[in-house]
Amino acid sequence: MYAINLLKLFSRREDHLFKINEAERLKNFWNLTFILLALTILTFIWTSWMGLGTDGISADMTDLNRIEYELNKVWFLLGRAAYAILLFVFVLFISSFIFWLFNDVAYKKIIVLQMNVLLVMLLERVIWIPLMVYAGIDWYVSPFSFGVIAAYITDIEWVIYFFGALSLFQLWIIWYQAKSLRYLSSTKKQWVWIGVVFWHILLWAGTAALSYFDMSLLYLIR
Amino acid sequence: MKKKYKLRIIGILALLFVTTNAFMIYFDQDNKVEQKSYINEWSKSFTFDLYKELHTEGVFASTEAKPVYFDESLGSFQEFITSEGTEVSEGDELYEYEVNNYEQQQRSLEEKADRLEEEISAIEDYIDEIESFTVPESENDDRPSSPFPGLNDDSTDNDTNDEESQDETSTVDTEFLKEEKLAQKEMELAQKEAMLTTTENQLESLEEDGQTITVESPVSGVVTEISEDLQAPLITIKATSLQIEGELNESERKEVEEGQTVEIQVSENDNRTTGSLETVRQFPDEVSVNTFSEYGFSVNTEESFEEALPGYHAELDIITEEAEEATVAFKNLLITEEDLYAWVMTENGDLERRVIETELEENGLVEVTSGLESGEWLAYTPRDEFRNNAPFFTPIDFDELYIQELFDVDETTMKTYGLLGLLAR
Repeated sequence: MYAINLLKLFSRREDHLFKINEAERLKNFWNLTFILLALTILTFIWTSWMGLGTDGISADMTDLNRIEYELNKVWFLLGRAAYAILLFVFVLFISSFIFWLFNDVAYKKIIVLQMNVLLVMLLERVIWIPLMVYAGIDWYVSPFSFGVIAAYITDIEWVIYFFGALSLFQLWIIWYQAKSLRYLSSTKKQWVWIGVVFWHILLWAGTAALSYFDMSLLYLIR
Repeated sequence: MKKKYKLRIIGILALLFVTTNAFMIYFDQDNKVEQKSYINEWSKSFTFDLYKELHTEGVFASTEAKPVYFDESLGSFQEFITSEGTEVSEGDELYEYEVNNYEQQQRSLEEKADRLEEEISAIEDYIDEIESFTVPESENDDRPSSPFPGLNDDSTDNDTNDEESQDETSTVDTEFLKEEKLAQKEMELAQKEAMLTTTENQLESLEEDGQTITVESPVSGVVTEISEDLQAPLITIKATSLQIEGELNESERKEVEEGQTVEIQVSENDNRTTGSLETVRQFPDEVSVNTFSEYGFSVNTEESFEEALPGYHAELDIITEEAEEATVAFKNLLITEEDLYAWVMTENGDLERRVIETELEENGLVEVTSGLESGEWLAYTPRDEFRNNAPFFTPIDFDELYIQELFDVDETTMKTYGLLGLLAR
């Protein structure tokens, strides 16, 4: 019986992994799940309320009256909230599912791991707010990511987005996931690492593609 | 130990990484790193009539003051017929005076007339006498006393001639003389009669005007001053039509020109009416290095203020410059560094640093003469975040939202923006 303590999972990782390993039941699971859902949605509402990501909407705003413009932004926000839910589901359940397929760890336990992953992702999002508002830096050129270097080297958008997705936070997540999975499962070290890295590369490519088409969608709308 | 060491290195590397990135962003010269601008307050440029007004005060006064004088040589002053404060029209009686030496003049004229009449009748008698005299027929002996005594000398000179022809010649001469004398006297008579007529006319005229002459008012207005001790001017009449007068100091005078429109407000509750600046003095009341120069002006009120009286004060706004239908922006949106510019939110979604030119400025509003059209959005704050050609984004402003209308938006819009929100990274 283990009461999930996410923070301690950060700091005293091995101890708690041990406890997770030994535990038969996991307390607070659903509580935490709901809290995380709420946090995810709130984070995305916050970023979109500040206008992050709405620079596409700002085009043509000169034709609109103020109310219309604001309402458009609200619909964007609602879209973001829906995205938040999808992201939540993906990170906690779908990623876990993939990991579960390739490792012999209990599904629920992987979910617990992913909870911290989600928290870190949310943290990365929140940091994006001051970066944008006080320095005008968008996510793909965050100083925490490799996007800046990519932007200096090339002009190709999806390359910049790909490396922009590759951030320090992501590196930490890879390390965390690999270490934890290695502890909990019996899969060989290399395979765990390859698996995790590969998975993330897929995700980064997916993000880059999504961002790229995002731009095209905007052009279509304009 | 090893682990802590490792941790520390990783920490330092991470920090280096972030710092390097930060520098790369900061020192980005070629705009490799795309930056965006956050705008949370902005406003529009609009079309407006701008006026530059000069505020001053004025007082109601008569448009004209007419002085009436009395020439003492004309006569002796009798009395004032009108009094101070009376409203007079053109032609009303003001005062009367007695003509000097009236009786004397009258008497002398009468005497003159009498004398002339006597002379006339004397001449008339004489003429009658001449006419009744018949020239006698050549009777040398009994010659009655000839009315032509001097003529005998002529006839006696011709005694050596034939007496008959002598007689005949003297008869003709006498006839001729008679006629001559007659004509002469008749001419005198005519002259005297003419003089008599003139004198009679003068007398008639004097008597007509009378001993007392009344002077009438040349204008309409109100009698404001009567000089009881007969100092000049004797009477001052001020016109009833009013204008507003005031004074401008030196800096105000520079801004003002004749003909400018003036807005007039008499008391706080009244409406404003307009007039125009009729005159502004070129010269101040006093020219001196040590005194402030004051320049008088007058304002013509187009509609008459029926209730206004001279002495009422009014607040005046002289419109010194105007720009009608001008493109106007709020002054605090415009920034002056080396040149005057504004941050314009363009249709592309980019923020443009645009150079503009302005003219008239009043009350925090500025007339923009070039660089802006009416209806363009100008970014206001936060200025530190404004970058040229950067895409801009704005937060949601709760105050500007009408939540009820959220679902009134058409479906396409809902879908468009909803999907955008869904698919953004």
